[in-house]
Amino acid sequence: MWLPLLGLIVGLLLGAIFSFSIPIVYANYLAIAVLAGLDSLLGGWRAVLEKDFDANILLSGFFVNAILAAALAWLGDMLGLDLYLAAVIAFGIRIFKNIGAIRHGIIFQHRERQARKKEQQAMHYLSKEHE
Amino acid sequence: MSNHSAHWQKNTLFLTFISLLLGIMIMMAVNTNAAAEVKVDNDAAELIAYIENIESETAALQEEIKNTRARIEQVQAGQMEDQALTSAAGETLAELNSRAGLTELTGPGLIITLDDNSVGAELAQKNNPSTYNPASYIVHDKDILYIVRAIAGAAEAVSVNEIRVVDTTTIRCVGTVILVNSTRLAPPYEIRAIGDIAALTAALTNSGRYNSLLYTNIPVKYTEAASLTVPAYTGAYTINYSQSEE
Repeated sequence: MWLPLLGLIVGLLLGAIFSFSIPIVYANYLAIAVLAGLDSLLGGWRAVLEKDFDANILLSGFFVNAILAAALAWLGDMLGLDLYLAAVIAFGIRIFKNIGAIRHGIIFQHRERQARKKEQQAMHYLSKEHE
Repeated sequence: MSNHSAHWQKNTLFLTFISLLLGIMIMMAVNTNAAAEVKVDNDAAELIAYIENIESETAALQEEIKNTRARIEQVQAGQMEDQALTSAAGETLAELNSRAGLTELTGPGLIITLDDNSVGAELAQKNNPSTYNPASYIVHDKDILYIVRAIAGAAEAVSVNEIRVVDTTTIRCVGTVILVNSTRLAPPYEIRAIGDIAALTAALTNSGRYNSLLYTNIPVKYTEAASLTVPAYTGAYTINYSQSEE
């Protein structure tokens, strides 16, 4: 479970070392795409915890959401509407929902493990008593 | 258990890949944002430097203005002293210009007109063709020259047919044409002279040429004018060889 976090850190480091940047005009679109990507990543983590993970859904969600969010922001610029705010709010809500679900998942997983441990211990004692 | 583990590993790899990608994207966004801010800061810094430059330039120019004003005051103070001298010199210059014939002059004087004796010439040609001499019936350059010289002593300004007579004026003939200052003239000839009318009249009527013209029946007459205008000399005074001694 620590490998994705390590990946994120390595990605951040790579980005910092090579200091990629894009034309300033597109800064807004990239920021929206980052938000969409973050939502997809958290959704993937949540799916892992809920044992509902699908690699295709994660990959397609990551790219399609990022591109669509950027496209929405671009359309907003064309129309003179701050449409990117819609994406910010939508992804913001989803990110918090995903974080909540991840929290739940981690807690339940922890409790399950504890319960299983106790069960195993109880079984262990029972088997010892049988001996 | 091993199947489950392989599946889990695959999922983790996907998640890791996506995380890596997202990390790079985040840093890209951050870098871009920072670059934008730096650009704004640079613009502001450039503007500030520009303003500071202009301010120092303005200060320098103001200092220059102050110095120039001081110099103007100094010069003006000097001018006050020179002014009396300058105005005297200016008056002398105007006087000399007018004497040199470089200004139009107005005043009382005499208008003398000479014309060819065409009537006498026709009669003579008809009556005595054998002795007819056309030269005896026309005005010659010498007639004009002598009359001008005769009245010059009493005149302050003289012109012949609107040509100003000055020191260097030539009155001569080329063929049948009279030239004054190299300008061709045609009869009748009008000599204007500004000066004392009585003195001018005396100078004219006492001159030999005037009387000989009257004797030969060349139409010559003079009228007194209370005010007449003599034009300015339009030619050049060229000095190539002479130098004034200091």
